[in-house]
Amino acid sequence: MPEQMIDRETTREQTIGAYRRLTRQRILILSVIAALSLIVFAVDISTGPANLPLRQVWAGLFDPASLTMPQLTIIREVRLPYALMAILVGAALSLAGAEMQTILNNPLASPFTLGVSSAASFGAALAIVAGISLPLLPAHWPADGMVPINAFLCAFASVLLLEFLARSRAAGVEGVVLFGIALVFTFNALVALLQFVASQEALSQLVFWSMGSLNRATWGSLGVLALVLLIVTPFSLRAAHAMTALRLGEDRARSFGIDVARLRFASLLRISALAATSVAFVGTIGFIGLVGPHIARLMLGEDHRFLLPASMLTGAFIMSVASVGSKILVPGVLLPVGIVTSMIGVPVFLTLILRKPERV
Amino acid sequence: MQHRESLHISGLTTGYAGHVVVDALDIAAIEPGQVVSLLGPNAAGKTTLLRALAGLHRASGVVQLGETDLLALPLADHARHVTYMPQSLPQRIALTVLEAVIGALKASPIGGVPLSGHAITERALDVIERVGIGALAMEGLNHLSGGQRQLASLAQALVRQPRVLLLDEPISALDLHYQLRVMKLVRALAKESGMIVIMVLHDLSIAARWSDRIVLLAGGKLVADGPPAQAITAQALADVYRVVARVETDHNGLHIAIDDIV
Repeated sequence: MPEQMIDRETTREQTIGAYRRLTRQRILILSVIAALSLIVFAVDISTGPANLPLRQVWAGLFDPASLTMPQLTIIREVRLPYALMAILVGAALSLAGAEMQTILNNPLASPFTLGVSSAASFGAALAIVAGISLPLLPAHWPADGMVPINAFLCAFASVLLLEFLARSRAAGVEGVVLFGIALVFTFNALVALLQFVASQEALSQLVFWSMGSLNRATWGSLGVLALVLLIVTPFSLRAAHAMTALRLGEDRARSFGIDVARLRFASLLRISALAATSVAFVGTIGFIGLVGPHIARLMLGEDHRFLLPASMLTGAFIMSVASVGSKILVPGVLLPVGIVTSMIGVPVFLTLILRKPERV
Repeated sequence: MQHRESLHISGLTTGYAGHVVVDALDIAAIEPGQVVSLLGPNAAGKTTLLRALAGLHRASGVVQLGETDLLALPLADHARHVTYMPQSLPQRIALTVLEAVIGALKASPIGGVPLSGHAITERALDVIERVGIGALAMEGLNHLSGGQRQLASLAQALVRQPRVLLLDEPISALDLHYQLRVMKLVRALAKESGMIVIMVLHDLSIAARWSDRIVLLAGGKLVADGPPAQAITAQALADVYRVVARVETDHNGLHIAIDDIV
C-alpha cells in the first residue's frame, strides 16, 4: 500500500511536470513563429524594385535626414504599408479561418473556401460598378467608404447562410462544404457578370479584387484593419475556452453551460469583420485562412488559448513570405500576392491532408 | 461532498417542433445515489427524455432537483447541477486527456469560487485517476482505444461534480471489459457521492445487473418503473419489444433469455 501511494504520487508529479513542459514548449513555439515573422517582415521591407537594403530602410525610419526624398517616399508609402498589410491581413484571415473551422466543425472551412471572400468581392463589385450600397448610409458617404462596408455586409450575409445551414441537422458537414463551394461559384459568376457590364475604369478596379494584391495598402486602410484586429482579438481569446469545449461536441459543450448559439453568432460576426475588412483592402487572398490554422494545429494542438494566437502568427508569417515571394519570383515584376499565396498554399495544404493524422 | 436532493419529474412533455415525443410523463422521485436505466425500443423517447432533462430540448412540466426548478434555469445555471454525456467523443481532436478535462472545468463556472490554475489541474487529475486512466493523462485523445476514450469522456462529465449525471448509451460501442468497467465505476461514484445517474441503455442484462431502477418506455409513455426484478418481466418485454423472453430470478440477480420475436 505505501509503495502504491508512492507510485501514484510519482505519476501525478510526472504528469504535472509533463503538462508544464508542454505549456512551456507551446509558448516557445509561439515565440519562434513570432520571431520568424519579424525576420521575414524585415526581409519584406528591404525587398523591392528600388534598390533599398535593410540598412537604408532602417535609416529611413529613424534618421530620415540621411536619405533622399524619393527614397523616403518609397519607404513610407510603399515598403512599410505593404509589409505591414501583409502581416495584418495574414493574421486576420488566419484567425477567421481558425474560428470558422471550430464553430462550423469543419477542417475545410475558411473565408476563401466557403465563399465568404467571394461574397465580399461581390459586395465590393456592386459598389464599384453599379454604385449600389445600402440605403442606410448618408448620401454624401464617400464611394471609397462604401466598398468595404458593402463587402462586409455581403460577407456577413454569406456567413449567416453558412451558419443557418450548419445548424440545421439535415445538411451535415459535407452539406456545408458543398454549399460553401456553391457560394464561391455563384458569387464568382455574379462578379463576372458585373465585370461584363462594367466601364473600363471600374473593370480595372474589379480585376484588382479578383487577384488580391497588397499595392493598395495605405496608412488609412492599415489603421482600419489594425483597429478591427485590436477589437476582435480580445473577444476571440476570451471565447477560447468555450471553443475548445465546442471541439468536444456541441451537446457536450451545451451541457457544460456554453450557449453555443451565442458563441457561434459572436464568432461569425468576428469572422465577417476580419474577412470582409481584409478583402475590402487587399482583394481575395486564398488559402491563408485555411493553411494557417492547420499548421498551427499541427504544432500546438487544439487548446484554443494557443491555437488562436498561433494561427494569427502563422498566417502573418505565410503572408509575409508570400509578399517577399511576390517581389522576387519574377525579377522586376510585382506579382499580385493572391497568386503567390495560392502557389504556396496548395502544395502545403495537399501535404497536410495527405500526411498521417496529427501528433497530439 | 454528499448530495441529498432527490429529482422529481412530473407532467414532463417534450419533443421536436410540432411533434410530441414524450407526453406528460410522471416518474416517482429519484433518490440521491440512485442509478436509473431508461429502457425501451427504438423511438420510445428515451434519448429525447434524457436530452430534455439535460436542458438540450425544450420541455414543459416539472423537473425539480430538491427545491430547484431545473426547467426554469438558464443553460449556464442548469450546467451547475446536471451534466450530459453524449454517446461518444468526436474523432480527430488534437487535445490531450488532461486538456479535455480541464476544458470541461473551464467551460463555465461551477461553484461559487473560481479555481486557480493549479487547483483546476489537480482536480482534473483527481478525476482522471479516479476513472483509472491516470497514466494516460498526457496522451492525445486520438491515441486512445474506444474504451479509454469513453473513460476520458466520463472524466470530463464527472469533473464538474454534477448532482445529476445523464449518460446516453455510454457502453454501446465498448467491449465487454470496458462495458463492465464503466458501469461499475458509475455505480460506485453514485453511491459515494449521492449523485443521481440516469442513463439510456440497450443491454437488458447489464441494465438489470447495475441499476437500482428501471424505467421502461414505449411510444413516449411509461410502461414500467421499479427495481429491475419488478420492471423487467416476460410480459413487459413482450409488450414493449415484441419478443418472447424468459426472465428468471435467483440469488445472483435477474437472468434474461430472449428466445424469439412475437
